[in-house]
Amino acid sequence: MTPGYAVVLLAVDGLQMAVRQELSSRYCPHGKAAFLMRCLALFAVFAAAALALFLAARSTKRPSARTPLYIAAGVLLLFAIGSGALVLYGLSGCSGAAAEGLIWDWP
Amino acid sequence: MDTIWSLGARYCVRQDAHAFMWLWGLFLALAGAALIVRGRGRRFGAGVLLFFAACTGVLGFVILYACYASAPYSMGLGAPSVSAVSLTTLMCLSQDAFSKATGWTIVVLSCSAALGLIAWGRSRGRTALPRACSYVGAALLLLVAVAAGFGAVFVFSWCSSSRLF
Repeated sequence: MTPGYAVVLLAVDGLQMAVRQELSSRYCPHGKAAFLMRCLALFAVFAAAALALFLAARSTKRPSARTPLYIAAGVLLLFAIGSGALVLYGLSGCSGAAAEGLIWDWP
Repeated sequence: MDTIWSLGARYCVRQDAHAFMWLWGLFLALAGAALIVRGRGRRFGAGVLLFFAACTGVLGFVILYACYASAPYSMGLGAPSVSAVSLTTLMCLSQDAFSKATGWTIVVLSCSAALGLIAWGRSRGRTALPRACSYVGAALLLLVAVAAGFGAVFVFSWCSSSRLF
């Protein structure tokens, strides 16, 4: 390996390290645990609303209102599940300290 | 490099999380509304809503892909295999995702409401005045949708040109 080639490799490696660091620290929350608890609470509200709609659909006397209520319950539940998965996926890329000024503050 | 791309995808999800959640909610709401409308025997309305839902999904994937494909380069990593024009397009597509989601929501809601108004106006038993009002309302809503669509195209073009020059 010639010295010039080694210098280029080192520079590229350093650049890649810097980009990797940026990608894993931007838009991360200050505290993962607190952030996850807030997310859990928020999506639990959606899941509870879905459950309430599901129970309302089961107990309703009007057959015409049953299907829309079931669909609304399904939509709320899927939203909670999908958003939770999205948050977890995004959060899984955070390692190290959060970049100040580019913080993920709420879901 | 693989680590960078994998981190880039997660970075994009974090950066535009609000927009993706918004689009996910809109997609589900449109699909659910399509199911309800189809249950009432209105196939055309259900088809239109399903089309909007599919477009919402495509928009979300396009924004995510554009951000994913340009994130490492936008942070200074060299892009010898990507042309400047492609990179500009990708960056402009992924930039300000929440505004794009909001604009698309305005288009979808305006068009859906306009279709609903037209269907309401065409139903039996309407006199001339309510029918005319529903048509005028539908026309105004379509105008709003066109304006929002034009705004989105204009912002994208502006972004592309200001990055190139």
